[in-house]
Amino acid sequence: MQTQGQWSAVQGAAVMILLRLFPFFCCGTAFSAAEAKQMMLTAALHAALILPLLHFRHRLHIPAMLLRGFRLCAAFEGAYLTLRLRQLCLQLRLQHTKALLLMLLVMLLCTVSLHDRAAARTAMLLLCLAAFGFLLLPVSGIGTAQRILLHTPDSAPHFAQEWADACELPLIPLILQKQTESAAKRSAYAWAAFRILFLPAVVLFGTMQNGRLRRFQGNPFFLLLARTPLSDAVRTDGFWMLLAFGCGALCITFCLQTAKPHLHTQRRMLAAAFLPYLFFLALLLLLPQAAAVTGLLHLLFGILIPWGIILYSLLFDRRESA
Amino acid sequence: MKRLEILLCAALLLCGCTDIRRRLLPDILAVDPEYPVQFAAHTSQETGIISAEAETALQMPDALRNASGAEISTGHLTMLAVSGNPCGVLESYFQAQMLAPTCAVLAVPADACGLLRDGSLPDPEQLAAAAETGLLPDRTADTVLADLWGGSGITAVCSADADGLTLALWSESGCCGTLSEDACRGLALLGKRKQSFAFAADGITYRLESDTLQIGITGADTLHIRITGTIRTAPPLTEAAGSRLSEMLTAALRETASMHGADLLFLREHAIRSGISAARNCSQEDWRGLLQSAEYSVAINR
Repeated sequence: MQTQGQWSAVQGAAVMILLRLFPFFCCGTAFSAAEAKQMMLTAALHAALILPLLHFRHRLHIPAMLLRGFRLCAAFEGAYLTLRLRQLCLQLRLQHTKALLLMLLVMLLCTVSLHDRAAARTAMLLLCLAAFGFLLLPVSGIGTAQRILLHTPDSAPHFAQEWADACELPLIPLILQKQTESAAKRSAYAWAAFRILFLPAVVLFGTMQNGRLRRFQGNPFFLLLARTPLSDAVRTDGFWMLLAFGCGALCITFCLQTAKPHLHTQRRMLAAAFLPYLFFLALLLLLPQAAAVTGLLHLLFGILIPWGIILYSLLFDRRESA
Repeated sequence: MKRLEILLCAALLLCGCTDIRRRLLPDILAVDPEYPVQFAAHTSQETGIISAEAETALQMPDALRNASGAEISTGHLTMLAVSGNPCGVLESYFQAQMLAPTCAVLAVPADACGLLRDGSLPDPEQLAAAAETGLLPDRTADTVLADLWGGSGITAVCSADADGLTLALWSESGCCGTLSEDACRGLALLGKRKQSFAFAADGITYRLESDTLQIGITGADTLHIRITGTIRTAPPLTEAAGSRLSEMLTAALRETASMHGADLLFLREHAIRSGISAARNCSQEDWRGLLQSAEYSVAINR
């Protein structure tokens, strides 16, 4: 039974899905069938490691010390996603990237102070819009899709990038805590289906359109949109651009809300979330190589630590009962 | 916090404001890439042609802006005409996202800017009509670059000369040749853009109703490219009409793959699908060589 303040299954699924969808919008490598295959395999591995967590959800009590680590990780995640948003602005050759990022920071001051259910409700709305857009995509592009392009050669490895793009992994244990058992289960299965089936399908569709344009240095998803207009006069990239920025703002907001500890005053809470966020953002801007640790952080906070807590709790309980 | 929200909303609404009178949207752009690079742009907002010159092709927006006094937005270009080799200009504009992928590309022998000023360039609508009636295959910026980057490094670009519209094969190093009318029609027949396709044989006009043409590649050292499939026309296909279509398809293969090693029909992907490992691993030059030594055949069922 869902109580006041708990997230519904759709809300949980929407946040998890958007946290993965936003890095997908910002991707910089050309679509290929090999990428779709590696994406599917990595997603299957993630699902195989995350879905059993549901069974032990009641044992997943994160101690205060580790919770601080999770909050720092969420702040880093927020900074990493801000960097990806900046990368998207640069890929799309937008003229006022700095002004946009400045406005994003002002907006975050407003949105982070809201209750996290506001982010969950907005995520539902954005997911509905994304679903509508994805329904239109095959309508506009089915005539120009070439199945033979799935055989375009590509030997680039995508496995590490998949780990770095799985921004929802360290946040899933925390999202599951906000839901009832049945809602958590349904959210997690919807997320797994999205990652294993839907996202690779979009990449395959993109490959059937862009297959030979592997040397293009811009954003492959927006190239796909530009190549599949609804008609001679109607292009959908404006809609997707707004949606991508909306997703980005929402994901960063959610990360900062997670990074925010429960303190007495609003200012202190905001400072506790924003200071590490701004530190990580400055670090990533000055030292872009630092983003390479993102995949490792996802593995650590999304899989190793939650499983460590569960295994410790199982062993400790056995010893107690013995 | 409420004041901040109002301020933020106002800033968000106002940051998209622009004076539309100070922005020009060219629909045809002509470029002469020889130094100094010359530009001429036609817009539907102004009667005259805007002309400018710069040191490099990528300086086009600033050069045209200085010449016209208005900001230039090239996202609505419907045709890019380039004199000489169009590959370099097209590649740099595409990578800089200065033109839409669906923009038509036209190569002219010389003085594209002068031709635009004289009104001697074909309209973008003419190119679209030629693609829709199956006279030429669809050659927009994305398809031209796709074949240049992903095929054997040779692409086909619509070309205008004294005889009218045709297709010319270009690589980054220069022009490889011009295709005959039959080869152009054969490529169009194998493409997806055509809306109608009519041809004459023995004094009768045939109109294509449906086709299931497929490309198959076999062999290891010497490739064998086969085009097979069924074509239905109104009136029904006779032997003479069938051999007329075979001639077009054979010309398309002979003048692209066999003579120049050009891969405009996803031949490399077909070869990979058939399990030919050389196609997966070889360089563009090697693939060109393999195509030039390939055998080919066409078999049409009625």
